Amino acid sequence: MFKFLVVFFLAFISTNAQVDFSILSIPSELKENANSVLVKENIIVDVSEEAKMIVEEYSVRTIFNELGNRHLNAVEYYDENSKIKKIEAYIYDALGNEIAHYKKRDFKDVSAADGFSLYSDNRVLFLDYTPTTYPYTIVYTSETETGNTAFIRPWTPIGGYVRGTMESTYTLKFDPANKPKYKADNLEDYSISIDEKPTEYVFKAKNIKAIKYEELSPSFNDIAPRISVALNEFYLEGEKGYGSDWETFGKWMNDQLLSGVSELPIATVEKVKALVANEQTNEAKARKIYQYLQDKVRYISIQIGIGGWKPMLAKDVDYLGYGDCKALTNYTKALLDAVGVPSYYTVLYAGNEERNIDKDFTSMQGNHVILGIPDEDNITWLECTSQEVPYSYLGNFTDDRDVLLVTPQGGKIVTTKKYTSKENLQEQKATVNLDLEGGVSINFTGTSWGTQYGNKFKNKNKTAVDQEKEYKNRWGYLNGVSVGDVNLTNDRENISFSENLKLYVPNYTTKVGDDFLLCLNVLNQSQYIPPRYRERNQTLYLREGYLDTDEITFNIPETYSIEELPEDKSIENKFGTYEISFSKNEKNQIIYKRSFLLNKGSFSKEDYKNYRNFRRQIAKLDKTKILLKKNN
Amino acid sequence: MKPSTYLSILFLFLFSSQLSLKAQDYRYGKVSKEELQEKVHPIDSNANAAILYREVNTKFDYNQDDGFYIVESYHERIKIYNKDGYNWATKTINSYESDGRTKEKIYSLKGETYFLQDGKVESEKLRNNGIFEEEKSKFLSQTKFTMPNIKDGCIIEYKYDIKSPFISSIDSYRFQEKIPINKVKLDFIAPEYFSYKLHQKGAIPFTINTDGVSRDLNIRYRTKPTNGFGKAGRAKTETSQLTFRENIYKVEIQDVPALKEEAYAGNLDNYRSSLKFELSYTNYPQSSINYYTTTWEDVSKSIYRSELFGQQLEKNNYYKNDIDALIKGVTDDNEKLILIFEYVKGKMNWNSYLGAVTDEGVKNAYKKNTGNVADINLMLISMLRYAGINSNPVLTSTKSNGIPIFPTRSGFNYVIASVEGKESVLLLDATNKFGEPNVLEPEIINWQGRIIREDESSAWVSLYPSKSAVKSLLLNAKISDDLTIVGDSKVRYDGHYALSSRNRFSKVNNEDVRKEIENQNGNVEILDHKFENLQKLYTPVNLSYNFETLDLVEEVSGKIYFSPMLFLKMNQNPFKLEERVYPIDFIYPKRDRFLIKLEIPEGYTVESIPEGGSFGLPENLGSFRYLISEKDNIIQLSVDLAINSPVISSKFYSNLKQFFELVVQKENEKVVLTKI
Repeated sequence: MFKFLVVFFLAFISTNAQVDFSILSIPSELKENANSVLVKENIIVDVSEEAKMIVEEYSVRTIFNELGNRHLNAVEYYDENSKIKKIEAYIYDALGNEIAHYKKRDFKDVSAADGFSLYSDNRVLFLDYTPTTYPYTIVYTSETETGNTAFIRPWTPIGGYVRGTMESTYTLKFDPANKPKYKADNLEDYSISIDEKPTEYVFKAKNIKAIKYEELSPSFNDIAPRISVALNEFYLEGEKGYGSDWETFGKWMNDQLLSGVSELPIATVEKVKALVANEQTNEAKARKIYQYLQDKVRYISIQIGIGGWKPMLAKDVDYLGYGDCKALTNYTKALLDAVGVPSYYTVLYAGNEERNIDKDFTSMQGNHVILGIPDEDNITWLECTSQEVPYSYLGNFTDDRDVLLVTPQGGKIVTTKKYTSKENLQEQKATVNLDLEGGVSINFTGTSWGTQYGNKFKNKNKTAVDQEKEYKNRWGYLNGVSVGDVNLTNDRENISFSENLKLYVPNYTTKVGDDFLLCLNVLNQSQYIPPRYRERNQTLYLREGYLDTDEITFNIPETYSIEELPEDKSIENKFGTYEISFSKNEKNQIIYKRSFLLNKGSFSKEDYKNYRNFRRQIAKLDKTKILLKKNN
Repeated sequence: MKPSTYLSILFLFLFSSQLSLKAQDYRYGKVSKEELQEKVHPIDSNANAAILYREVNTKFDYNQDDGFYIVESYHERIKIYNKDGYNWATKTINSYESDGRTKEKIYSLKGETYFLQDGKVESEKLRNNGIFEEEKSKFLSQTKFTMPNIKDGCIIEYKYDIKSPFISSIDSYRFQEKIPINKVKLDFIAPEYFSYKLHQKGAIPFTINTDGVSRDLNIRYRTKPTNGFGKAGRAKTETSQLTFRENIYKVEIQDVPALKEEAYAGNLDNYRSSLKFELSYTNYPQSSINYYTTTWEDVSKSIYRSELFGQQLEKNNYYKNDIDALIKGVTDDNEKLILIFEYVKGKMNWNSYLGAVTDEGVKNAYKKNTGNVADINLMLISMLRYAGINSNPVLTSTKSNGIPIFPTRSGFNYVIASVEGKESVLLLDATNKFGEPNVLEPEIINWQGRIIREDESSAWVSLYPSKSAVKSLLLNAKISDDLTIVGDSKVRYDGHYALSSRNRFSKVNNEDVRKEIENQNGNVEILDHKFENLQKLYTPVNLSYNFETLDLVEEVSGKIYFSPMLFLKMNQNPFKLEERVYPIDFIYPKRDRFLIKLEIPEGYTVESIPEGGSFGLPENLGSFRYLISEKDNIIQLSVDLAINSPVISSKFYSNLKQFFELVVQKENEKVVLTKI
């Protein structure tokens, strides 16, 4: 205890003495790779009163360069239910001389619309500061108050990449009768202390070095220290909520947020009943309903008050024909209810970075909603905001992650569909005719499944000009390529996408005297090589697995003969398998085959180098050439 | 190329238009079954949506509080063919505000979606829950609405009125969009007191029909006479009748094709067909004529005379002592110019706000070390003049603001400094820490600017640099027995190339620089790289590095093949599409030179090398030269690629595409080695 006292005493002195904001105190190892350093941060979150949260923030941050300006963090959000009671900033130069002082009225007040919402009632106050010198230090103080206690800001002692932290303290004050819970992630490598007292928790971190972004690494969330905090009894836009565990939380969501929103006009109920009248199975009914939905509605995001969490009424969606993810999911659920097919509103984090709803920590989480239809042991997932994706298709945006299923009995954490590498298949076949000038005309067929389907199916509805653009970029390495006879088929039933087209590439081969040098991998040259790191710090994470197969038949003019073929190659390692093979026949044809399977997964940081090597080998092998000899 | 040539390039392309002769009922609510049944646009089958009808009526009204104000009525009918056209069902209307009282107001907004249901025309009204108002900032509010029940083939229709006090700044009337417009109609009626000048733009020809009509207006006003003791008497309402003529302008166009989008074309607005009403003067009864703007000369003058511009150039008290000290003993004008330019660049920090006129005011900005574009550059001009250098402002427009095609004040949103010499003009922008005379940021290099001299005369100056940016690269390498290549390279970046290197590399650390260079070049590992002069302006930026490549040499059937340009070769043609409508903006002329010396491994001999060659673009717009030789196992290569014009007309597009195809092909040709 003595130690604490001393610290307290010193802190007391230093706040009363002339405070020194010069940058001399920042240890050099914290400046390494950092565009800014958080010198001191003190956040006090007070939820000791019911239905009220006060957040006080005091921070001292030194910005070293232009790239550090975005770490300024002098910003507060507000809306109908929350207000900014105090916001203020002082700027000091490197020697600690005050150069500017900004009061609340100097902050800019603008709408906090997220860019994709049509409307949101959130607003933001921020400091629009133009630095006049580097480095400089900002001392920022704010106090906000809100009636929402459903979200308590987590403690993130480093706010992002390339920022160092000298000291960060987070105090959570509470009523012991409604004691918050917390969950710590990724604290292992840092000097972080947690102090639990009867009416407050204190989290403290010291001297955290900046983290640099590295390609093919896990998301920042998965590597940075963080403590999440939540109340078991909370308030959301005036409604009381319960969340001691996922079951309770899900029950509350179901009873509070999702009740009274599902009523449909009788005409609509009759219409969908008639629509599925001849269908026997739940799946067949659900397919019809999903198609009905996709033909009827479109995605428009509107976020106002409780509407930010509670879906818009199904009957409103019915005549408006639009809504956000909550509204459209709830509407689909209502339609399915009307025809007797059970389904569950499901909350998750959407995005290409697979982020789980934390199954060990119950709190308001997620940024998206989809619908789950139980089918014995399986669940079929429906993305209700898209008018294009096929029934039960998820894709990169929502696949393979833990999600919260909201059922009348309560919440349940389940995992969405994981696509295996082999399911993400792209199968390409082509006949290539080589002409006497060295050009090639190509008859191409390709079919894609799984996530590779998701990358391509939207091409179907593009204009001819955009399709041409798409193919010319995909095969950008084919100099002077022209594209014709494009024929695309989107098979929504089997979820596969087929491409049929013709290409012509003049001068595809390299002339060497009278002979031709021909690169056999015409259609799938992988030239991606991950960047080289002298020192790799992060785990290697391959976010997406897939399988590409190619088979090309070359018709070689009679006047040319095929010299020796390259050796077949096969590389197999933990990252995947790469194989190429070559053969010829009496019809003066060459048959080239390639298959590349990439595994999804996490690998050690030491493996990064090996993976890079693997890709380098592939890049080289994908350019394998043969010599065609002119017959004398 | 002269600026006038760029202008003609801009207007060169033409669209073909066809007439459709369907009789249609364009009255609000009269959507026909035939319109709903249409599956694709009859002229443009690629269209995702089409504006069937757009009507704008602008007229003036009067009330005692506001005086004359504008009322604009919009009516629009849009056909939506498919899902990619759905975004046309959401509309945002901006309304501006200069202070609490002077603001635009939107009212009488109504809308309806029409669709076919079981062969019958049905509709759904836009209700209040589909309309949103958002205060974006102190000066801008947005009314957004999204139409209900949108499905493929539906038609939406809406109308609204805007009441606006801003009679001197009326937005352009747009006659062209990214979707086809079947019919667009404008009626603009203004009292004789307001004289507007009309500016037509775009490739679609249209005529403006004018007419006149007499109008009576009852003007009601309240008077509050004072009695002899200064106390207010009883207020009286009086009415008087005003009779005046109104000028009518009518435009009607059929079948306006969609505005095409293309890469590297700059701001699409430059090509949009539109009509702008620019207030040139007001002439109220019993008061004198008040001139606004009419010609470029007038626009320039009006900006110059603004207290936020001309007067800012005159003030010098605030910097006098500092500048006196700075140039003390310096006699050479050039030296003074650079001293002052660097002084302003060093002291001032641009707050990222644009503007042809000052925001803070030069004095205040100087004190705070920060300001907008005009704060900083007008200060610079003033200081240069103070030092006896003939410096003048040049009004310009950023690329995103569009090319100033007709004279309006809003056509300019930027100002830079100029110093006119005997034969050339130096252009200076002190907002850019890495700026040098005549090395402007690409965003500012937008056609031409308007120079305003102290006697208020003005003229156009080209913003395009006449000097090419030059990159010179020297590379020495040796191919080892194991077919790896080891070598070193020295690169020199001049002019705009130096600027872009500075922008790109001066802020990042060494390790990131290496990664970036490796990424740019593909299969190469860089060692001991070093930049020189990244911070030191007025000298070229130098980069040197050692490298090793493992995968650039290929062995096929016992022979060795490689491109002598190694990792420097161009892999892809930047121009892939078959056609192009708009001119291609290269921003500045450029020249890339490579001198490469390669030593082949012992035990091998050169079987063949690519042929040398050179080719060019018409009118000397560009050239490429490839010279190669081999002697004593050393291959020497000299490659020179030049684009001589900052802008190339689309009529040369196919030449350009072919030119780069040949460049790619040539640079990828191979040297063949055989074992002895």
